[in-house]
Amino acid sequence: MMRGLMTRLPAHCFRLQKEWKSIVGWLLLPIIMTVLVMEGVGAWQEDTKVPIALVVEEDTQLANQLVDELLNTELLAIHFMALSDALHKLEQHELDSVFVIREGYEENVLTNRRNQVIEAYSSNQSFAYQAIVETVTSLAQQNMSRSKAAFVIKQLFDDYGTVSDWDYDEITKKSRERQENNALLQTTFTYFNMEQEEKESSLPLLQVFGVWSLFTMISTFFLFDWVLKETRPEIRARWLFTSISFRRYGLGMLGIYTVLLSIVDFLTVAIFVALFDITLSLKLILSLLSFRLTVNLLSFLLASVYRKLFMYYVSGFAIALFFITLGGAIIPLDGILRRWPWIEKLSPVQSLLATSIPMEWLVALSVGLVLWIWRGGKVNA
Amino acid sequence: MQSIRNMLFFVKQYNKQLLKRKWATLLLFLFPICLIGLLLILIAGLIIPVENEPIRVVLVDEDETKESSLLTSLLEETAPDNQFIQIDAMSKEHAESLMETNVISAYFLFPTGFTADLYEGNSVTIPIVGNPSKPTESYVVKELVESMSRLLATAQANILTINEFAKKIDMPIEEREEMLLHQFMDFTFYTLGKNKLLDEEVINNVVTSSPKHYYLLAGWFTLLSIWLLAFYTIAGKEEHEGMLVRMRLFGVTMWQRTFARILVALGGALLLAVLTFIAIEQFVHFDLFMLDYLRFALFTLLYALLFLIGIAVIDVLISSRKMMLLSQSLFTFIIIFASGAIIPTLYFPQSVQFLLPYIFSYESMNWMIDIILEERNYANYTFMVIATIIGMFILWLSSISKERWT
Repeated sequence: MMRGLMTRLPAHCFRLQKEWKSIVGWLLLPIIMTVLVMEGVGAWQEDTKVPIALVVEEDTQLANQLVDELLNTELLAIHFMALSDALHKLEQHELDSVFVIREGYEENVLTNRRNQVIEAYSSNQSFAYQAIVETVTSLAQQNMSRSKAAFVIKQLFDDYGTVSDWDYDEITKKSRERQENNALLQTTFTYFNMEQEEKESSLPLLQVFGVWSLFTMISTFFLFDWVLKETRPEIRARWLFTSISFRRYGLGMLGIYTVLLSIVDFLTVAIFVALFDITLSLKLILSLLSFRLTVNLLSFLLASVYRKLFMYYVSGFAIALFFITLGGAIIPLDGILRRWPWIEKLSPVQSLLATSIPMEWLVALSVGLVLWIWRGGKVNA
Repeated sequence: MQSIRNMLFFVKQYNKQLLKRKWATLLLFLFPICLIGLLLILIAGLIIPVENEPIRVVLVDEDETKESSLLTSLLEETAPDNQFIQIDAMSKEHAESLMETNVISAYFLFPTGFTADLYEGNSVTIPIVGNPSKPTESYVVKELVESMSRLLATAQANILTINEFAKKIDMPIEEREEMLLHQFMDFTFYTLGKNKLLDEEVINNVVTSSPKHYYLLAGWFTLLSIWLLAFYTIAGKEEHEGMLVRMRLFGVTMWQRTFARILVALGGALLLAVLTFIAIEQFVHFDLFMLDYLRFALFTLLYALLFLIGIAVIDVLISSRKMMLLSQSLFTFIIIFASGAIIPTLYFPQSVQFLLPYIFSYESMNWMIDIILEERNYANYTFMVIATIIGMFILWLSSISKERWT
């Protein structure tokens, strides 16, 4: 039964059938790796805390309130210690920064002298310092303006002779509730000339398709090793005796792999839409298909240039790394594009991330393919 | 004795091969330099222009009340404190034309009824419109306006609270409104001047521990690791089955061949690493004692050896070459990342921190930082030596079992 089926199958399927396990593995690898990387990075970011030291020089209500709020901040891992220890650890780069709530904090705040009530120490390697300062000052500031409000009201009550009704805690609690319950001031973000509002994560640390493009390029390069395997010197002579030429076989395989990989790409998009914050659009699908075509043509042509399998693998790896770097998948390109706009043409990954079509690449590679066919599908096109 | 002779034979053999593949070797030498250089250029492109020409933002005041124009002028004036951002107030039409000509990165506006809603306690929305051709800058503006509005929301909550309590006492309405305007100004100034809260000091103990020095060392460390992988990859030779049988008959073991390959890779990569380090020394003077250089060299050697052992274990255990290449690359990335060469380990999550002392790249990088950057005059090799011995043993064990079971 199996044998009968095989004789009727076209020649293309022999290799596919023989290596199907490995092929399925490499087809699915980009999806698995992308999901793993994205989940890993997400967990990493959530778990990241910046170690700082907090030196509290006074034990008053206001100071303790600030300490409590700082402790509730997810971004910070707070260590309480004496100033000298803290500074020593800061010098050793075991802490990002040190904050001191100075003696007289409450008194200064209540009397509206709020300059330099907190001391901040950083070292030349405090990479998160600016972000921490932003957090600490805005928390302190919120606390301070609440107590300021309380004292403004006290003044009012004083003027109108009802000071006995004044209750500090009641006022600060009200103010806090008001801020937490009513969404008082909000912002929306849109891009100019675009209708749709951007989602919260308009600039994530890693872009899903950036990660995916790395792994899919690597696995596509690996999958196209059949070009080399079929033209090994030992078996090259075989093509003289077969009913179809290597040219037809090669083009057929290219077609089969393009269809196969495109199906997997659709699956990928479906999974990514379900898992990550991605809006499905026709533009995305078109961009993805053109990226797929580009990578497949490139792998095919590259594989027909090489003789040594291992060197082909290594080069494929290197090219994939270069493409994602040049494509802005690791570090955004905006800065460099302002100076040299042509850089965006260099990598098809950039086109994918910008959901456009890498025209230059497609044209160049099509010319390459035509040349390959014209040269008769020889090993060294 | 025979074993060592075999090993030396393969060292010579692989060396010859390395020299024969000189183009591939050259490419592998240049590849990591180009990649890291490219990344540096991209980072520089992202940071440097921002300093020379600030991000230009337009503020559109459509409300045109006393309060909103006060806020507008306040924002215009305080923005120059921040050298990265310049805020100008103008009409929406003007802002849009500047957006089309790509002059500004974003604009945001105070909509009509902004002040009234603020006083009423109604929810107010500040729309931010970004320039689609400057996504990163737009994002920076978005973050900035968001943090500003969070601060203003606190001020607003307090003004509303004051208003609420003021209503309880018999204060004339006009007087109350005047008082609120006064409080609005007061709280806004208070809010936007929050940076005065801090008394900031920077602690500098050792000059060489600046981020520049740190990342020079980290970059060198990364280059070394990639070169080690590259040399190992290119030094080997795939032997076919018949040859392997013949070699076995001559008493050549996998262990001998693998170790020879490690030695060749070690020699090549360390040579390049030393040259690079000398080049770096020309730019920044670390000025260490001879003894410190020796300590540093010893840590480098032990790290390189351990790294190659790891690569070789993967090579021995995984027979599919594609899988092997992928695994070795992932291994390299993880080892470099765990050393803190990309993000300093101080900023790693707590749940990962406790694992770090068991990772050899973290240990060696830490010692290198201490010796080179912090001018520490002490070194302890116990961990690295023990790790190397264990590594060797694992490699030997896996090569033996691989030969026996396949």
